[in-house]
Amino acid sequence: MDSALAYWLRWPSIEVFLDTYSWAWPLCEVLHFAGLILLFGAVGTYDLRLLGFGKGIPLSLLKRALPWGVVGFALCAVTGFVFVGGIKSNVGVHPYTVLMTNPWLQLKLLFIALAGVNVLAFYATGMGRVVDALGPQDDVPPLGKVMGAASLTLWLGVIYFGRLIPWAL
Amino acid sequence: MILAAIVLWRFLQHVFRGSDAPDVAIETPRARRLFAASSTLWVVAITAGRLTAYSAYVISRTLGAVTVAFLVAIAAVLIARALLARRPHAASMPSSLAVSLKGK
Repeated sequence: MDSALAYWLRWPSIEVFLDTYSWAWPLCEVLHFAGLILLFGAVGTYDLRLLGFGKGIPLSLLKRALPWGVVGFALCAVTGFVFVGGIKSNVGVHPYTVLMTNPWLQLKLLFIALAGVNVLAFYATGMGRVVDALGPQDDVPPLGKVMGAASLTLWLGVIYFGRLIPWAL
Repeated sequence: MILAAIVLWRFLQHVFRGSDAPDVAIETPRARRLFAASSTLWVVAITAGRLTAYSAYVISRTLGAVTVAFLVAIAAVLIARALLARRPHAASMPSSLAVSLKGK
């Protein structure tokens, strides 16, 4: 199992690409940050409205920005894959070793998974439909507020732990 | 970032303190120009922030790559908008207008 994971984590083709083109790694960093901004800008604003900020704005209006958050997440996922798959070309350590020894990367991945579970719970419990029907000035049910607070905390944690990853390499 | 803040302030002035209602003001060419300027300035700010850790050679190479990526992103958005604009949207029109268009 471990050897299979180690095999699939390392992508020599990405390493060669990053070694050949000096602009590739910094470009991915720029795109990773742009993705974070799209993701947190869209999802964070929605979460703040769930918590009761900007009550004059109907949630259905803020929901229209969420596809941009999905675009941001996709951008982060693709560039994050490049970082992990090609990390050996940057710091000379196998990605499997980084995954097993870097606590910040482990926490970041855990928080991303928890944020995903939170989104699934938001729609599985019917909370998504409940808040869709709310208009301006309407209050979100307590469970929706808890999920909004959890989402905000988890994504802030993802950003925080992501910034700490290089310090443990 | 300072330029972006100035553009944002002018954008807010135009949309929320102008003579037109915000819904109308945000659709004007001036609002679109300010939005485009703001987006471009923030892309420059993010790029500059990320590149401070690199050598002049890598920075010069990356600037070209970021410019290409930015142009590709703009092209993708324009193509997506053009495709969405071609969708039939009679259902969202006032019924009398939809009926008259269907008649043609």
